[in-house]
Amino acid sequence: MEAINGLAMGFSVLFTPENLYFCFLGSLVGTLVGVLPGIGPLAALALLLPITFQMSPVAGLGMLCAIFYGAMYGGSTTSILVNIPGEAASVVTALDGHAMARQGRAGSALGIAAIGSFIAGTISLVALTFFSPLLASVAISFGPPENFGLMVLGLVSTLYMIGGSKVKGILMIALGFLAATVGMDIVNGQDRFTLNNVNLAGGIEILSVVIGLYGVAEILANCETIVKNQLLADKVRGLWPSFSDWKASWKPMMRGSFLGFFLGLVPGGGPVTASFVSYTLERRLAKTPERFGKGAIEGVAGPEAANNAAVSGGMIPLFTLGIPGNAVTALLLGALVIQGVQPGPTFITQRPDLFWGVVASMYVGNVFLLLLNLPLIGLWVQCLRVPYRVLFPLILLLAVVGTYSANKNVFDLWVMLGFGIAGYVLRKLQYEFSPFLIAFVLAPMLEQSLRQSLVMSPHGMLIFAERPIAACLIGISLILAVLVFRQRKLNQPVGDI
Amino acid sequence: MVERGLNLLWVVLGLATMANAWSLGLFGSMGPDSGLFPMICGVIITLCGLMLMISRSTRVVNPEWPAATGRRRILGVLGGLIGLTVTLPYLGFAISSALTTFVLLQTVERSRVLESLILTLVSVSVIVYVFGHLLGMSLPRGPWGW
Repeated sequence: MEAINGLAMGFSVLFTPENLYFCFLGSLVGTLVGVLPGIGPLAALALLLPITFQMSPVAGLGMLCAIFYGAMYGGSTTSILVNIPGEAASVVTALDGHAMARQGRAGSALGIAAIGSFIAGTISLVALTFFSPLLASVAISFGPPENFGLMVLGLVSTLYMIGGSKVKGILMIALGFLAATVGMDIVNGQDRFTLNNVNLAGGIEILSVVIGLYGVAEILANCETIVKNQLLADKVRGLWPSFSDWKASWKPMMRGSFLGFFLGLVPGGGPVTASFVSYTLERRLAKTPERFGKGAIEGVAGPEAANNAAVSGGMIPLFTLGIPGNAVTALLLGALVIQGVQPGPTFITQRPDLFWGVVASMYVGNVFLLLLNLPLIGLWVQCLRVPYRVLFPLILLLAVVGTYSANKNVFDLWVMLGFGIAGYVLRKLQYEFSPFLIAFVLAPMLEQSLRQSLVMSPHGMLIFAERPIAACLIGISLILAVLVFRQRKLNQPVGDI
Repeated sequence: MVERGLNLLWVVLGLATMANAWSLGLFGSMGPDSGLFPMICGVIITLCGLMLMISRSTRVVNPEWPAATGRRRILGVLGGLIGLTVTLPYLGFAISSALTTFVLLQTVERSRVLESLILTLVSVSVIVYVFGHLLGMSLPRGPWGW
C-alpha cells in the first residue's frame, strides 16, 4: 500500500511540463545514443550531466535514467540493421537480429526488440516499486561496519561478474580507490597525493574521469579505422510481430525480464551481463539450438528484455543502499551527490518526492520509448546514415564542454585527456573500467565507514566479526572472493557499460 | 613490451603510494589516520603489478595496436585536443574549438575544404547555441568578448 501511495505521489510530482519534457528528451537522446555507434550510454550521461545541474532533481535524474534505458532500446536498431552494436548490451542482439534482417525479417526483429524491451521494462519497474521500500526498511538499521561489509560485497561481486583477468580487475579497484583519495582528507584536512597542485586539492573531478575513460578513449578507438555503415534496409516494414513470432518470443521475454532484473540487482551485473546470460540460457533451453546465430527470434527477444530489465534492477541497490552495481549507476550516484542528495536506506523516507518522482518518470519514459521506437523507426534508420566524420567533432566538443562546465577549470581538461589516453591503452590490454569507476565513487564512503568502524571498535578489525550482519556480509564476500579465483574464464565479453 | 612496461609502472606506483601513505601516518591518537586507506591501495597495486609481471595467463596475446594510418589519426585527435586545451583560455571556446575542428577535419578526416568549413561552422554553432545560450552555461570567452 505504501508503494502504491508513493507511486501516486511520484506521478503527481512528475506531471509538470518541465519534468515530462526532460523525460521525453532523455528518451529521445537515449535512443539516439543507442542507435549511433561510437558513443555509449555512459559517455552520453557524462557529457550531458552538467546540463542537469540547472534542473530540478526529478527532471535531471529522470532525464539521466531515460538516457540509460533509452540507449538499451536504441542499441538494438543498429545491431539488427548494421551488425554494429550501438552499445555493449546489444552485442548479442546482433547475432540473430542481423541474421533475421538478412533474411528480410528486420521489421519483426525490431518490433520484438522494442516490444520485449517495453514489457521487460514495465515488469522490472513494478518489481522496483515494491521491492525498494522493503530493502530500504531492512537497510535502515545498518551502521558503519555493515555499510563497509555491503560495499566490500558489492566490489567482490563486481569482480565475480567481469570477464577477463581478475587480477586486472582487483588492480582497477585499487586504482579507483587511489584516484579517489587524491585531495584533502575530509576528516583532518590533510592533503593527499596532490603533488602541491592547488587544482588537485578538491580531488579528481568525476566527469573528467568518466568522459576521459568512456568518451575520449572511445573516440580514439573509433578513429583508428574508418567504418562505413552498410544498412540492410532503407525502409523497415512489418514491425508488428506475427503470431508465430509471438509464440516463439513470449517465454524468452518473460525469462529475460526476471533474469535481467535479478542480474541488475547484483553488483557487477547490469545490462551487458544480463543480455549475454539470457542469450546463453535461451540457446540451452531451445529444442533446436543450432538455429541460434542464424536468425532465431528467441535470441533477440530474451537478451533485449534482459538488458532493459537490468536497468531497473540496478536502480534498487543504488537508491536503497547507495551502492552502484555498474558504471552507469556509479555515475548516477555521482550525479545525485553533486545535486546534494545522498542515496541510501533513508533516501526514500527523506526524499520521497525525488525517489517516487524518478520511478514514475521511468514508467512514463518506458511508454515514450515504445512510441519513439516503433512509429519513428524510419527516423532512426536515417540517423544511421550520418557518417562518423560528422559526429566525431560534435562528440569531441561535447566532451570538452561537459568536462569544463563542472568547475570552469581548464585543468580538468588535462585530467580528461590523461584518462582518455590511459583508457585507450588499458582497453587495448583488456582492462575493464567498471571496477575502477565503481571503486572511485564508493571510495569516500568506504573509507569513512572503515575509519568510523575502527574508531567505534575497542578490538580493532574484530568489529567486523562481532556484528552479525557485517560478519555475514564479509563472510559472503570472502566466499565469493575464493570463487573469483577458482572461476574458469566466463563466457562473457571484455568490455562493459 | 607495452604491457611489461605497464606492469612495472604498477609496481612503482604501488611502492610510491605506500611510501607516501607511510609519511601521512597510518594511525593517530583519534584512530585510523589519512595514510591507512592509501596504504591498503598501495599494497594491493604492488601485489597485483607483481602478479601481472610473473603470470603469463593474464598477458594479452597480440594486442591490436593501430597501423600507421590509425596511429596518425589518433595522434591527430590527441594533438587537436591538446591544442584546444592550450588555446581555450586565450582564444575562447568559439574560436579555439572552430580552429581545432577545422584542422582535425582537414588532417584526420581529410575532408574537402568547403565540407570542413561547413561542418566546423555547424558543429561549433550548435554547441555554442545549445550550451552557451539555451542552457546558459558560461563557456570561456576570448579577448573580443565571445
